[in-house]
Order: sequence, then C-alpha cells, then structure tokens
Amino acid sequence: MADAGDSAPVVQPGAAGSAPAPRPTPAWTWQSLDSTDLRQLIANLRAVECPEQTVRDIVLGRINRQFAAREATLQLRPEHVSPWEAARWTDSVRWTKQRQLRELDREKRALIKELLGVELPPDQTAWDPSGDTPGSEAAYAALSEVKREPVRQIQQRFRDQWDELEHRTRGFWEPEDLAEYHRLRAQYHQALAGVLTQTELEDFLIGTSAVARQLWTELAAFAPTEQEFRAIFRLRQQFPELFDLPPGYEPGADPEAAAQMAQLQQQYEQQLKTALGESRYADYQRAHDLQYQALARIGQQAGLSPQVTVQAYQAQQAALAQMQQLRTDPSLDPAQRRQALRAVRDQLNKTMLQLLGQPGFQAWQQAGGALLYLEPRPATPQTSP
Amino acid sequence: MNPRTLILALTVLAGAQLLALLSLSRHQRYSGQPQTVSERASPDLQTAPRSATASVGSASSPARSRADPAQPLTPSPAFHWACLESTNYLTYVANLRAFGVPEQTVRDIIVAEINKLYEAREAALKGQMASGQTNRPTLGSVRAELSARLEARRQLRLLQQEKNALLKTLLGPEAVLEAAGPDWPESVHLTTAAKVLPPDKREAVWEIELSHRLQIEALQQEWAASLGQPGPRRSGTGRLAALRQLQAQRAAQLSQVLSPAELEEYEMRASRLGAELAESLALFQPTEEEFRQIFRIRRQAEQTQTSELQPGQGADDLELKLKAALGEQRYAEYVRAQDPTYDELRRLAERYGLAQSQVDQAFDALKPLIQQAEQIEAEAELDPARQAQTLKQLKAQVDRLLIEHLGERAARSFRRHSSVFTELLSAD
Repeated sequence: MADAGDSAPVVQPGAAGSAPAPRPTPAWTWQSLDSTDLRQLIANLRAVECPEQTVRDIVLGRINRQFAAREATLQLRPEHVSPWEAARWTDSVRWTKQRQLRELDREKRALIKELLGVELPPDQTAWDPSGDTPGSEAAYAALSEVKREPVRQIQQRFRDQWDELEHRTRGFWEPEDLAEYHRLRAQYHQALAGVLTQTELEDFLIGTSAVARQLWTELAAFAPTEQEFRAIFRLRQQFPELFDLPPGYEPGADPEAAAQMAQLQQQYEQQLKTALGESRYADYQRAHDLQYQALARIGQQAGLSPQVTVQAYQAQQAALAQMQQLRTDPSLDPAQRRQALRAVRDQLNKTMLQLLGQPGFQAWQQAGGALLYLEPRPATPQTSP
Repeated sequence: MNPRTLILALTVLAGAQLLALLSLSRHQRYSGQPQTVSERASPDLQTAPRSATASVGSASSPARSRADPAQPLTPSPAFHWACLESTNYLTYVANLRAFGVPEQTVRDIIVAEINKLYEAREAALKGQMASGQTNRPTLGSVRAELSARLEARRQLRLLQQEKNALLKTLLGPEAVLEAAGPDWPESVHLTTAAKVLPPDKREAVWEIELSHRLQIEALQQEWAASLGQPGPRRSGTGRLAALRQLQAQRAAQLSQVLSPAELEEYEMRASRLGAELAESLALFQPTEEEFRQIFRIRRQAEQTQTSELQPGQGADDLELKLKAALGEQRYAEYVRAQDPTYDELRRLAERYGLAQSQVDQAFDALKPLIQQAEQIEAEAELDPARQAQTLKQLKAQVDRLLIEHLGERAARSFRRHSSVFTELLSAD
C-alpha cells in the first residue's frame, strides 16, 4: 500500500492553528486515519489515542522522507549524483549546496516544531566560529534547558556570517577581513553574554572555543589547576590578535605588523607572569615548548617522574644548542659538520637511554628522537612530469 | 583475538542475545495471549516499554504540540490505537500490517522504537568513546585512554549488531540498511552505494562491509593495547600488511557476490578511493569516461602496491598508464589540477577576481622555480649559507613573477598565505 504522505504536500494551506477533525469511517483501516495533510493525520491519530510518541515517529518518518526527496531532487549531497558529477563540483558549488542543505534543514526543523511542538537535537549542538570543537555537546548540555535554544539561535546567526566571510576570503585574509572576523567574534560573545551569566559564558567558551582547546593542548604538560587555567584563558581572551585568529590565517612578513604583534606578546607574557608568579611562569614556559610536551607524554607513558622528564628535556635542549652552533660554524666543511652532528646525536641517544629507560627511549626514538633534530631533511621526491 | 574468531564470536553472541531479547521483550510487552486487531489491549499495556521511551528531542517536549486542536476530539468507540498494541514486537508488527499500515510507516514506528530501546546504552558507550576527545584532554596515559575508547567502540558494535539482528527479524534486511546510523563509518556511502546493486545482493554486501569494519577495528584495538607495553608489537609494516590482507579479503569476498560491472559501480561510490577522487578532481572536471578510467587505473595500482612504506614504487607506472588513458593534453591538465600550488592560485583568482588565463600563466611560470627551490632545500651537501642565498634569489624571482601575472595586491596576499612562501621560501 502506498504511503499517503510520501508524494503529497506536507501541510494543507491555510490549516495553521486549527487541526481538522478526524474522519471516522465505519470500517477502521489505516486508510481511515491516513491523510496527505500532516495536521489531519496527527489529529486522526490522536483521536484514536495513538500514543504521542508513536504519532511523532510516524510524522517524523513522513517529514524526513519528504525532505530527503527534496534533497535528492536538488542534488545537494554527493550520494545524490554519480561520482563523476560530484567530482565536477568546485569549492563554490559545494559551498552553495551546503548552504542550501542547511536552509532545508532549518525549514524541516521549523515544520517539526510547528506540527509536533518538539525541537530536534541540533546537528551540531555547540559551534564556535574559530573552528569545529569536539566535546562541545557537553558544554551545550551544561546550559539550563531554557538557555539552550537562544544560544543555538545565536550560534546559527553567527555561523552564517562566519561562513560568508570564510567563503569570501577563500583563505586569503586581508587586514579588513581580519578586522571583520574580530568584530564578529566580539558581537558573538556579546550576544552570548546577553543570555548567559558571566560564569556560564566562561564555561561555555571554555567548552567550545578553539582558544580553549588550543590552551588545553598547550598546557597538558603544565598541568594547570583550574584557577590557573581560567586565569590564562581570561588573559588570552584579552589578546584576540594573538590567540583568536581564523583557521589558516598567516600574519605575513609585514615588519610593522610583526613589531605590533611582538609588543602585544610582550604585554601578554608580562601579565601572565604577574598572574602565575615567577616559579609557575617558568614551568609554563617550559611546558609550552612542543619538545617538552612530546617528552612529557613519553614520560607519562613510561611512568617516569616529572624531574626525569625535565632532565631529559634539558639534555635535548643542550644537544639542540650544540647542533645549532655546528650548523653555522664556518670553519667546518660538510663532511666535518656531519661527523660532529653524529657525535652529538650518539651522545644524546646515550643520555636519553639512561634517563628514559628502554621503553621510554624506544618511544622517544619512534617519535623521531635525535633524528628529528639532528639529521638533514630527507630529499623531497620529484614531481612527476 | 584472531579477527575471524572475533567475528564468529560476535555472530554467535548476537544470535544468543537476540533470542534473549525477544524473550525479554515478550515477557515485558506481552501479558497473556497474542493479540489480534480485534482484541482490545489490557490497560497495563498502555505503559509497556514502548510508551515509556525517550522523547524525540533532547530538550523536554510537551505531550501535545502547539498545533493541538482547540476543541477536544472525540475518538470513535469502535477503534482505539491500543487495539493494535502488543507487548510482543512480532505481534505488534503483524497487527500494524493487518490494519493496512504501509510497510514504510511500520518501519518508521518500529525502527524508532527499537532505537529508543537502545538509546541509553548506546549513549553511554558513545560517551566513553568521546572521552579524551573533548575540549579538555585528560592528562593520563594515552594508551589507557585509547584502549578504553576502542573497547567502548567494540561494545557499541556488539550492541548495534544485536539491534540490527532484532530489526532484521522484525522488518527484514532492508530495514537494517535504512536504519544504519552515522555511527558506522561511511554508512551514508555504503547505503547509497548498496542501492545501485540488485536488491538480492545488498544484504550480502552489507554483511561483508560490517565484518570488514569490525576486523579493522579489532586490529586497531590490538595495536592500541600494545602501545607502550614491553614485548612483541606489530611494526608499522606489520600493521600495514595486516590491513592490506583484510582489504584483499574484502575485495575477494565482494567479487564473489558481485559481477565485475556491479563491483565497479559499487566501489566507485563506496570506497575511500572513489570518495577521494570525487573530492579531488574538481579542477580537472572529468567526463564520466575519464573518471572511470582514472578510478580503474588507481584502483589497480592500489591493489598491486605492496607497501606504502616504499613511496614512489609503481608511481611511474601509474602515471604512464594515466597518461596513456587520458592523452597528453588531458593528462597535463590532470597533473596540474592535482598540484596544491595550482589550487592555491585558483582560490586566489576567485578571491581577487582574476582571469583563469592569469592563473594558468602564473602557474606555468612559477612551477619550474618551485621545483628548483625544492631541490635546493633537499640538497644535503649544500653549504647552509649558500643554500639560503640561492633560496633568497629564487624568492625574489617568484616575487617578480607573481606581481607580473597577478598584480600587486593578489601577489602580496599570495606571499602571505601560500605554502610556497610560508614553508618552502620562508627563510630569508
């Protein structure tokens, strides 16, 4: 039997707000209840005391299929066209299709809310313009129910604006684009602050923003207390030119801009030092180093004490300094330079084996070990003609 | 555990759990004799597990919508939905069908119910899978976190297998395909690809794919468990060999079920290579025939390549085959379309409204200089100072060419953002 709603209009025009009465027939079959008008169908199902959850399941199935058919007709997803057709989609075509898909999704959600009075879970519950943020669902769930929808609407609004900006720049950011990015970010925070308390806002941004995510990654080896983390996060929020940049943005080599950034960096470091205190600031600086972070991970896996990790880091730093000196020593010819570099590498390997033990040393070597820092880069394969 | 043993164990376990589940649901949902459409459900059935399941949205939902009728409707005493209800899924499905509910609507009702039945357990496992991937990474052992995540994923797979078996029993194999959620990697592609196959072959293909996925995940789990542990561990080459063995096994199984033509149609849509080509050939704008040729040649190369750890091996042969298939002119366009610098220049042109001819000319002029810079950078014997000096000279040449072909503004932006400058020619 055909499903009445699958190829018919979703809602009869002019029916809003007044659901029609069911059409009882003497011999009850599904056809007695079914209707191409979803409002009529809902009314009919409710009239025979169909459980509300089942009404929703039936109507959602109909709506999903109707919208899937529209998506298929519009060929919005790669699976709706042959692979060679999808292969001809340029970035602009993909972007336009994504945009249409999102609009269609909004239309569907609005219809579901209108007919059934329920909100579908958002496809991406919490989004941040500075990048996709895993784990954001928890940040969204932490909000009180009454605040989730307004927050989602704010996100939706700014996401559209952000998408426009990103699409327009194509990854080539001019100073005025960056200014617009920061203006959007400020407006986004301001809009959220209109809905959330200060604490809620900070928690939400910590749970969703790329600034916070970057900070957690950077600070893994620093092991900040919650208070320290929040202090650093707040401080970084005050320096968006340094820490809140669009993905793929490159500051470039403009000397004036570079000087300005250096000045801001100095101010940030000074304020951070004050906030953390001398000793913890020194820990922060070391833990901020990517090489220390790699060693700290190895140390954790190998069950080494933080002191040993620090010693290993210091040994590695000393070897790096030696290497730097050898590389720029004009008195060495290439063969001598290579030999001297190898001697540094052998000594470093010996020290690291002593400090990290066999499993730790093995992990360090797998991560690149001395080779990463001391060997010339391997030759890039030739591009085929 | 041997992957084959694992699959066998999963299958046996899924079967046993399905029987248990059907019994359980019968016990929970069924009180007395099987019901027929004419029978009225007893009042206690109104609170059967189905009606107690979670609501549609994550936010709390009102029992009735805002579009509720203003005046209460009077249900006919002759029929109530409860007449169709049963505590037994099989009876419920039979009742719905007997009432004339279209098969698609039966699926909508039952799939939604079964999903709700598993929702809480799936959500708990998904929560465990996501731990460590949140915005607040744990500082604990990477190995322990990874192992826990993979174990949660394994348990989720078991649960999903149990759910699929239940759906299959109640509604047939098509319902499983239809209900496949996004938790299975590439499920959208698989379900879509399966639709190009004859209906009688879809289930077999789906089974092969699920089994393959489980074997790969078991391999990942084995590798994660060995991280940081003393004792033998598969090397990168060993892992790759095991992976290739699984891929070969999958290909062999698929070719037993599908004809060569069906297999190609399916793989062009379902394989990683097909998806990759669909994503990466936009600048080349392939015709259907060109797409098929590229897919066949690359597929063959993929299947014959013995190890990814030997880059370049067979690459020349691949390029020769592509050139022969596409012809000189189109092959040159294909190579250019794969080049990241060409892609950057094309985006730059879109950004600053440049003509396509400007992009082509700039690329043709830049390419030899970029290759030269790559060679210089890779030259281990070259004195560092001389190397830096040569790169600086090249950079100046590239600068001049860019301004000549693209104009001052676009050239400046390219210098700031292009990987040619931020990576290759970054050092002054």
